[in-house]
Amino acid sequence: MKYVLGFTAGAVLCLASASHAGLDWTTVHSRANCGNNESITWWYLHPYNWKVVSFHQFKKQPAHMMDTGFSYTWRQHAIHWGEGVHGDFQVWGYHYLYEYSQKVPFDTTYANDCSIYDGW
Amino acid sequence: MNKSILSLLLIPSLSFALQPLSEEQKVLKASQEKENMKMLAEMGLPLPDSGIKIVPRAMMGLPQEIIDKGIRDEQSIKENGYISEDTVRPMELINFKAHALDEYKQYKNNNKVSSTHIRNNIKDLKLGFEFKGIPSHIDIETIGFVPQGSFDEESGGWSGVVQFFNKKDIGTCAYAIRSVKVSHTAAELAMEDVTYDINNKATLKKVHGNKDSGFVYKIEWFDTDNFHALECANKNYSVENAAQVITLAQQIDSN
Repeated sequence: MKYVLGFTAGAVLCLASASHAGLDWTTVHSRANCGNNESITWWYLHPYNWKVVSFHQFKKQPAHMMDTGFSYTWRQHAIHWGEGVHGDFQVWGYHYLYEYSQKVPFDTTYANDCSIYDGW
Repeated sequence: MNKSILSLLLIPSLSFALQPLSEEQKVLKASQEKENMKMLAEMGLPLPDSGIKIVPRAMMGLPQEIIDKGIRDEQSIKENGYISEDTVRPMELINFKAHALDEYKQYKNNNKVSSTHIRNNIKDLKLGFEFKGIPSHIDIETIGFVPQGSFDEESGGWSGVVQFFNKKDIGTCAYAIRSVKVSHTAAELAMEDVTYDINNKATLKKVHGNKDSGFVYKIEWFDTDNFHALECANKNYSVENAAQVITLAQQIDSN
């Protein structure tokens, strides 16, 4: 049941947060201990070839890595649903853009708390 | 159980202040980041903060679908001078002023520094780097400024910003800049496509759209401090328009 709750909260968080990031250009973020642990690249309805690699550390020890692979999308997300309910996680996000003329580590993000982007 | 559900659902409404890292936490964070770099390198990915590299496309390890589309685009450029495709981007830019007015109204009471909405004044956008913007001697009508990239309190704010503006004889444009230092960005650029049009800096250019959609003229240029992009939308395609956008980019970069 604990995991069901975690998943539900994560889904709600995602839905609650999904409407205001990257309104007019690409933005990226990571969040930790926030229902989910996540790293997301986002520009609403503007798809590009994005990949996100997200490293999660628990109690100062590496927990695991998530790799979304590449896809042509306007919202590339590496999310571990419900993982953040346990607390004491740190999350690193590496946000990659690939095009025919360039391969770019676009931005990096780090979070050790649920510092929700205002407006989400 | 109801309390548990309630507390979980309330998480988004709480205000979480980012706590500054202690010295010990900073050391541990740096140590983990070194490990992360090792793993990214093992995955064959370009590393953050690794600079600008000009390499043959064959060495970039691009996914096959990106290569296939690029080959189709090259053929289109040979035939038309531009990448022929249906795209909403030209009209989106051309209509951006009206969109901005709506967004100003919608977010007029939102003063949060990390919100992604448009600002009327660059002073209202907290950036982690110095942004000079479009030089004052260039005659433009600024529409507004939006953030791009990441918001990092430790770095002082956003890693990038975009200035939207109208420019007579060119159209509606967006000038985007991303700080290398704050974003930790880097680039591998395909040798076959790189020119040095913008003040002898590595430059990528493309025009895409069609007669029904309108056209976007896009120029990106790269230096050790910032990565830049200039997009200008116009209903028509011409070589002269493309040249004007290049000249504009050169002027912006000279600031």
